[in-house]
Amino acid sequence: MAQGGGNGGRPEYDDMPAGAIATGAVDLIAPVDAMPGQLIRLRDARLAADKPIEASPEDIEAARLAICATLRTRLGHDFSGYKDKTFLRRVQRRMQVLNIAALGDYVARLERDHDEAVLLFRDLLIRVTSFFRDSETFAALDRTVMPRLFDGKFADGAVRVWVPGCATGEEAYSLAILLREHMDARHGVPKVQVFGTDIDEAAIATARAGRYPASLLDGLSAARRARFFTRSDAGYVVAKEIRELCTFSPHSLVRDPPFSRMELISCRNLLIYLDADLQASVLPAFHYSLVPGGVLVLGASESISLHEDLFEPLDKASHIFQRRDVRSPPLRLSGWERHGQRSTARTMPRETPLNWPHESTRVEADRVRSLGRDIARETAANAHRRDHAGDRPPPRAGLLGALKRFYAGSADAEGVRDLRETRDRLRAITEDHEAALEELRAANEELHSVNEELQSANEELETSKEEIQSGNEELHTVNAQLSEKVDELARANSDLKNLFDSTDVATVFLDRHLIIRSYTPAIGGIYNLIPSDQGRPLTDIASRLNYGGLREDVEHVLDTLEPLERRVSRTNHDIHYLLRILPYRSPDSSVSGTLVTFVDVTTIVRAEQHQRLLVDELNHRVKNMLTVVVSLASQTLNRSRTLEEFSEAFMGRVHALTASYTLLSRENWQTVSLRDVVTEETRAYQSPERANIVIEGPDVSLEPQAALAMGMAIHELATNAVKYGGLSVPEGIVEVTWRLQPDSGDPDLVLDWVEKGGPPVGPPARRGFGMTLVERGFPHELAGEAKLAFEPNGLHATLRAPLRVPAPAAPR
Amino acid sequence: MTDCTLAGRRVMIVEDELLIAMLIEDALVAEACVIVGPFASVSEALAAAKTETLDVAVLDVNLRGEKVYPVAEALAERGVPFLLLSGYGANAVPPDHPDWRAYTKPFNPRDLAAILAEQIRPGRDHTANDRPG
Repeated sequence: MAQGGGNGGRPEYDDMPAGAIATGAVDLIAPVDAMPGQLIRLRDARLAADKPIEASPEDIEAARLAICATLRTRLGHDFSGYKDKTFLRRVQRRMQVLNIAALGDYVARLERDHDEAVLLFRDLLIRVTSFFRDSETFAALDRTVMPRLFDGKFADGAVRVWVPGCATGEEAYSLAILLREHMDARHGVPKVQVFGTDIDEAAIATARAGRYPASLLDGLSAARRARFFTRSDAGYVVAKEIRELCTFSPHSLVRDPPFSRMELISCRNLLIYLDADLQASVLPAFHYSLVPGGVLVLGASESISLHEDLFEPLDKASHIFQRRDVRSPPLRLSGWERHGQRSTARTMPRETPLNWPHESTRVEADRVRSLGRDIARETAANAHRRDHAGDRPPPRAGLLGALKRFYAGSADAEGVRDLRETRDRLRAITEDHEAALEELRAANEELHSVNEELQSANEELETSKEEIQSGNEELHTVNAQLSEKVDELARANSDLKNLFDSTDVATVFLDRHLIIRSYTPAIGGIYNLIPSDQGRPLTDIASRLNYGGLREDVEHVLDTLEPLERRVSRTNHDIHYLLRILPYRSPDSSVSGTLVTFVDVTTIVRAEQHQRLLVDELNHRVKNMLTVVVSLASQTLNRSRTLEEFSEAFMGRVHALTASYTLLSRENWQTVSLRDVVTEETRAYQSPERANIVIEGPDVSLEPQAALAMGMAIHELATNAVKYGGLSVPEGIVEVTWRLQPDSGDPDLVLDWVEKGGPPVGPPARRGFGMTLVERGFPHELAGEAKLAFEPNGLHATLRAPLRVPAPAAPR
Repeated sequence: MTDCTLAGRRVMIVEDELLIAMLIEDALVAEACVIVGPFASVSEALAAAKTETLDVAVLDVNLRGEKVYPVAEALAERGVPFLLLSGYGANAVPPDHPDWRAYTKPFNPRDLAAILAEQIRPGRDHTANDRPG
């Protein structure tokens, strides 16, 4: 308590009270005349130990924050998010223990005393725990949750369970036992890990040891106790097979980032100690930690009401919840923010512990308290005197006396005071030294743990880095493969496009409803397709074909899945196509449409027509020829006296015909040379010794009709000459000469057959068949003329025919 | 075997192949026919078909690459019966004149005479009197 403010006015010398106030040890600041009442009230409050703290809500809040700050500075844990009532109950309990009535005193004590900070910390972390606590919950876990954890998992899977706030590990071990039992009932069980974490490292150490007094094992059945624990001198030790499933580590739910990929989180009776704000940030952290469909188990009086968007009840009675499959809200890393603050607090202490200039005021304070007691006593005495004496002595007399004694004491005990002062100062220095040492030690420990954390974080980073590197390499490989595939695809596409562009096979790809999917450029001769026609039915587009059955044919192919072929031609019959409709098979070999191709078979069709014409023509010629032969035979027979005569004449004529035909067929029925015809027909009579047959004339080509008529005429003339004329005697000769005689228009061919040196001839009494053929043949077949002059020297035949320039070969 | 139906009839022969024309001639001369022709080209035959007095005609279908059909039409117009003669056989009958008769080469000359005689039997008798005006 210090003097200040109020009705009593400011103290005359305010250095001293101000200094006292500045220590932070002053709980109350009051004017002098209010002080007695305050002091009495304080004394009464100390007596009422079990009553709630009497202080204004603001003061309580200030004290709470101060305590939290101290704990944060000294131990690195932030309790500011704990529920006020719980927190203050713990503080009050400590105050009772220490016999401290005022919150301020306790705050001061806490600031001074590191041990007290640790004690309060331990007190705040209440643990009421045992194995299989709340058997109903475990029954529900056994029934509902455990099968879910294992179902669909095999030896390569993992089941991860997290018990935040595990304290001394009973809950974690209980879950491990349950998991173990389910593992035993299955084959090919996944890897099971139970993580127990707590901020209390001492508790974690206990959990790691796994040694428990027998009393804690009350919740265990005898069978479980026998199977999963071994008896030791002071109690029971968790069996190795259970211990190996569990990993315990210090971890703050508030401060540290959450674990991840958990299947089950059991966090019972922890949230109740957290205020709504902190609960609201812890639940999203759990949501983040859990795999989709993961399970959260809370305590009996805890709920997910703050985050029903993240969790839904699985077993409401047992407070088992399931993670909703929604996106985790961004982690409100309040713990991390506070962590940062803590770091600042750690490096820059909020208050300087040694406060030399004001340290002496503590002594002064003691004296002020003693003065206060004196004043109170005087006041009480005065009151007593007034009551009993009835008069009213000056009230200030007693007070002045007390003040005199106060100052006199100061003056008299100057030396003693110095001594005491020095001693106190020494003591204070020692205390501060110890506090500083403690702080250093704490800082050292923190540094150690920070170092460890850093190391493990570093290792994790290394691992992550390696994973990322290998992931990166994989990505590189996959990317390379992908780009190779893309290149291949582009090449194949380009090949295909070139093929499409180059092929004359007009192709349209249709879907099941005759909608055009794509086409090749060659289709342009059949359908006037433009790129925007893709997506339209082919039947909507006018074609140049004499073909109306496309829809029916396509439907038939889709029904039967058999290819269909059809000959179609363009409307003007200039181009013929072989139409093929084939089912279009998708890569999954389902039929998703049809492929319509048009192969230009015009040349084949033309060739077929041509061939048909040729066959007809050949047929005609052969039959004509046979008729000619029949006629030859008939005529020759009529004019033959003997069979020998007939045979000779007939065979000679047939041979003559054959010779002309041979020439014509050699020249492919185009034209033959006149010289060749004459040479060929007279060959049989040419003398090897002398030039008995003279053949002379320009090169002239004869068309087949003329060649045949000429050949027959020369044959008959030669036969006649051999029998009766120039070639019937050894010295006779025949001169065969020809010329082109320009007439009006096309020239005439004029051929002279002149026999010399033969026996004298006169006109025959009767024309033989041969001469008839010569005389009638030229006019009849060639629109020419044949003159036979039987001159004394021999026969002079003149054959004239218009020389038709042969038309280019064309089938008739 | 002679058939008096043909005797004295004027028969036009249109045939570009001389030897075949002579064969037909021989057959018809044997039947005492009067031969008109033979003609080797469509133009000559057409002129004769329009001007000559004819009882019947033998027409080779293919005359130096030309079809004889105009001649046949001219004869049909005048009511002169005729017989198409061709190596094409029945195919030589044009589709638009399915009633025309055709005879195939090669042929037996006597059969040819009989077939010709059929063309001018009573009922479809054509005398030499109906000359064109």
